[in-house]
Amino acid sequence: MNEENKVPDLKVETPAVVFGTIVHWVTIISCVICSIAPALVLLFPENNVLHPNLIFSLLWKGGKVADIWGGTIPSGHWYLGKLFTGDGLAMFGIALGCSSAFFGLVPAAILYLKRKNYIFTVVCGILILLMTLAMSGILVME
Amino acid sequence: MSFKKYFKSPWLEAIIMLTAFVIGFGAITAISLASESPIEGMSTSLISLLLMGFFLISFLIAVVSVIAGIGGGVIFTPIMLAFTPINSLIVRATGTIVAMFSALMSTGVFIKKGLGNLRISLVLNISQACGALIGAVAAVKFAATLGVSGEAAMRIALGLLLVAVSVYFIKGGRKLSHPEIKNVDRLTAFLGLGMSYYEESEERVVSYKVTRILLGFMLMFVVGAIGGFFGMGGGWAIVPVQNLAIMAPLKVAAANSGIIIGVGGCVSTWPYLLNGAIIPLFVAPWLLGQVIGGYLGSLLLARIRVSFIRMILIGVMFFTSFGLVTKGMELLRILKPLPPFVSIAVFFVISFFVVTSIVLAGKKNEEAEK
Repeated sequence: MNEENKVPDLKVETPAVVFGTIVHWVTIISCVICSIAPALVLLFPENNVLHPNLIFSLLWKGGKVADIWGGTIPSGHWYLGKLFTGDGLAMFGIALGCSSAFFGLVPAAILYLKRKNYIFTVVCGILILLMTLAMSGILVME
Repeated sequence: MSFKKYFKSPWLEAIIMLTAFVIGFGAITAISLASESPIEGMSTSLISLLLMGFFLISFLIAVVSVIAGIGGGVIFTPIMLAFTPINSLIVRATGTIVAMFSALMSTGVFIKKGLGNLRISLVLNISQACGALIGAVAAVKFAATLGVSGEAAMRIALGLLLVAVSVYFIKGGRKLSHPEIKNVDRLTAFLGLGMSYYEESEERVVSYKVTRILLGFMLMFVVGAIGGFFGMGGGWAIVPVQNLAIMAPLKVAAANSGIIIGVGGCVSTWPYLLNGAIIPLFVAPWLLGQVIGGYLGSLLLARIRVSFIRMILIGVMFFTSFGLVTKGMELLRILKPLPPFVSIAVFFVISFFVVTSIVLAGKKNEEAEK
């Protein structure tokens, strides 16, 4: 029992706590990067994949994805090679947040395995596999 | 005065995020004041205003949606499709981000409180994520192969879906706070999905079981596919599926919904991201608003009357449905572009019903309290 406010301390399984903590903090890091990156985009407008002064006017004209990217859509994880550009950094922040559950599930799977909970090791493994396939682009149809 | 509490949750996260926000948007404001007009395109000062505007709207959507218990995507995606000319694939891709990031922020909080059941969430996530991935891939293919008629059909379908969701919310839906389970099927028992949580309103520990996990698994695939295709999280369906199909307590179902949407989003956003539908400078302020607003919304949840927020949301969804269906019909040339006074009239009619409902609900609550 928690003496301060009489709320009982319910034991939440460690893999769940680890998963939740990692997802929480990776999301916050993603948020911090997405706070700073737009300022860099505007501060160095020429040092971007997309010119910031053109993006919103194209968006407002109903431009398709290819139009926004100037005809050539960058493929795969292009931002990893453009981390010193404003929009590359912003995309890295977004992608990091979109991978937060992956980073949480890997240690959760290891902890379930250590506890000989093979069912949930497999469940975590299936989701890790799905995320890996999605992130690799294998499941994306051209 | 002790400063130790500011180095612990929830203060630590709030300070980090707000500091980053102040630095980032302070810099954006300074840059917009110092910049010269560009040779072509939008001015930096206008871009700065748009970024701030997107952040504020996203923040409000996150606060309201967390309090109302639905995902931000069900507000963002239909409104943007109904009232802006932005390409539908870009809107739906951004909608997936909007739906998942407020959910991701609530994941750690709910798990630590014992409300979120990671085991149930992960099992249901397998089918939800598969459905969401297929929905997202279909959305990308749909956008690439079907032109204006595809855009129109998608808007009309979403408008009708929104009407169905609004009607469901009005009727209240069947909700079971603490479902009674007599028999647990073998598969569910084998998976060991039951848990306990502390029910604050009753000041007691509630131990619960669930059942029919296979039924929940199958329904979750459909929910995921719809959410992935339309760029919405599907929280409005994930909660009743858990509550009514697998008989999870309502609060647990709501907490798990956040985990499921967040984890599912970590699968379904990638087709959009890898196909260039995520435009970084456009998405960043929406993401930021969802994270900060979602965090604040989860802290405010206990203090605000949920039913009032729900009624306003129902009004917003009906008005948005009207915008989506008429826009779709205009694209198909079934309808001529509506004069503005028609939209204004519809807005006032819906507002009248929302205000009347809030007043009547307020009177009912007062009588109940007496």
